[in-house]
Amino acid sequence: MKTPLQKNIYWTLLAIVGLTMLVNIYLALGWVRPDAEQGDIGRIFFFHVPGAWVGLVSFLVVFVASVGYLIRRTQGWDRVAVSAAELGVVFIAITLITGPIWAKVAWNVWWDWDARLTSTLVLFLLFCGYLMLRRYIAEPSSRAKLSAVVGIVSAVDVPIVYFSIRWWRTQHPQPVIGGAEGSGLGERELIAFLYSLGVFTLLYFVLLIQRVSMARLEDSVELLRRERRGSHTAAKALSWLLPLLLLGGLGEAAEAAMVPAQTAPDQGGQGQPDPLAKEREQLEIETENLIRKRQELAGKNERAIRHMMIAYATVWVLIIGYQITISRRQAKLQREIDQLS
Amino acid sequence: MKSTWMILWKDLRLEWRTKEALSAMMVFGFLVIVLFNFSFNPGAEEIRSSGAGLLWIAFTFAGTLGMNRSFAAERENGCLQSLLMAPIDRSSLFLGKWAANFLFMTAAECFVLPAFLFMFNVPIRDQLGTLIGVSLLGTLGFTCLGTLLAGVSMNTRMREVLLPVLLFPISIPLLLWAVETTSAAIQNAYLDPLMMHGQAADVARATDGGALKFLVAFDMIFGAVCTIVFPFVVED
Repeated sequence: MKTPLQKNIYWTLLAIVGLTMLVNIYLALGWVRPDAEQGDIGRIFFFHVPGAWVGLVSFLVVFVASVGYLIRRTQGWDRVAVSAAELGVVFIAITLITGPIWAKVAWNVWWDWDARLTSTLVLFLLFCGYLMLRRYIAEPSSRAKLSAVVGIVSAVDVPIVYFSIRWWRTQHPQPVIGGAEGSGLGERELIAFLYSLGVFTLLYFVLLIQRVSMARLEDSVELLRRERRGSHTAAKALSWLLPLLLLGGLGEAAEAAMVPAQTAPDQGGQGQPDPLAKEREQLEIETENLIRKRQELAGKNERAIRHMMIAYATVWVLIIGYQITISRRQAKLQREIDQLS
Repeated sequence: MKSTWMILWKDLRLEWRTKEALSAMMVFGFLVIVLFNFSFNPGAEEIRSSGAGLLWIAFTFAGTLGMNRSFAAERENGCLQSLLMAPIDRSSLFLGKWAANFLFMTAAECFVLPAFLFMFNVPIRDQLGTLIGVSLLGTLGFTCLGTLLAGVSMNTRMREVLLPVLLFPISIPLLLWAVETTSAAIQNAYLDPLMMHGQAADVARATDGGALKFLVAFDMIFGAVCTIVFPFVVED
């Protein structure tokens, strides 16, 4: 973003993507019917899966950019690679955070060492290793070269990691499209899903553009200062996650604390023996049971909705937080450049 | 091809004279097994369920230790520079180093594996072939990635620390299948031999073929990729 015009174009683009994301929220939360089996919590699908998808796209971008760097040896390819890796961390984090929030409702555990969860975690670790490596090499060209090598090897590893799913027992929902028989999406769900895939991809590339231009600024600062300086944005974006997870845990704890208070039964003692008393008692117990069951179900759905809201909040805080982090860092770099030159 | 042999021969002779890396790997691998005994006090049941994992933890930790040395040693006295100045293909440098690392790690396993089998009384019998096959294939892939990434981490500020951070996530699919097959072999070993003729025989055969094929495919893919990209790691 060198000229004001480019800047304006970029911000317009970002605004458009923001609006389409709002439409996406409406589609996922309002327009789509609750999942037949999972209920409202199933709506996480529309953010959870696109997050993973964009993470995979990230690896493709890292691979192409790494090969591009090794062939062309221009800093531009390296900037694309590091930006894609960092965005990959953010989007995989979205999947890794919304997943447990969903799983707590659907499976009643936060985490399970299921193949798909594990492989997504492996992707996350691969990205982390890649970004860590970059911070430990000071010299730009050697950093670009070595991280390109690791980027290529990691990207080759990704399909292998994913293929292990097919041979490994999994309790994760089967792939919805091209998955097991009987699964599949309704018309509305398909539209909403494709829409959110598209929007996430668009968002990814818009953020990528901004991140790359930030990397360009970083490089010029580096050139100007002749001083080592790693990028901390990924770590910063990650620091957003912990409080949110904590929030989810607190909600869970509060809920657990509230349960005993609700189930205090009131007992009316009657002295007179009644011939019908036993039958009546039986009926009362049954009614009570029914009411409790209904309350439980309602509570479960409430819990599902609460979990889903936390998941959505996480997604938004992550994306917006990341965007703000990049923007602020960009502004800071720009100031530094102005000072130095 | 000849230069690959030369590199391998050089590393073997170096190791033969100093006995630095290999002894460290063996002792370390053995220590992992001893520590396992203290932390879990395992009986036959524990070995059946988690012995394979233990074995591979011992293998990989010992292997990582050795591979860290393979390039660190070359840095002393500018040996790597001289190697790079030699009129040989860089890929053959990689192949030689890979072969050396593979042999060292296998040698360490030759010590750790029997120690494991004897000390925990694993009745391995006819499963020994599978166990050795899996160990060799797993080691081949692991040292391939390890050699490349040792070359990468050698160039960073963190040196030794970075290798496992890079190596373990990438080799997870390999370890997954190596552990799975090893586990199948150990569990088969515990089956009553009389039962082997009945249903258990099917169970015994079921897990083997696919995983071994997977290991072979993994080795081939990464053998090719690493050989192609290694020259970039050492160029200057």
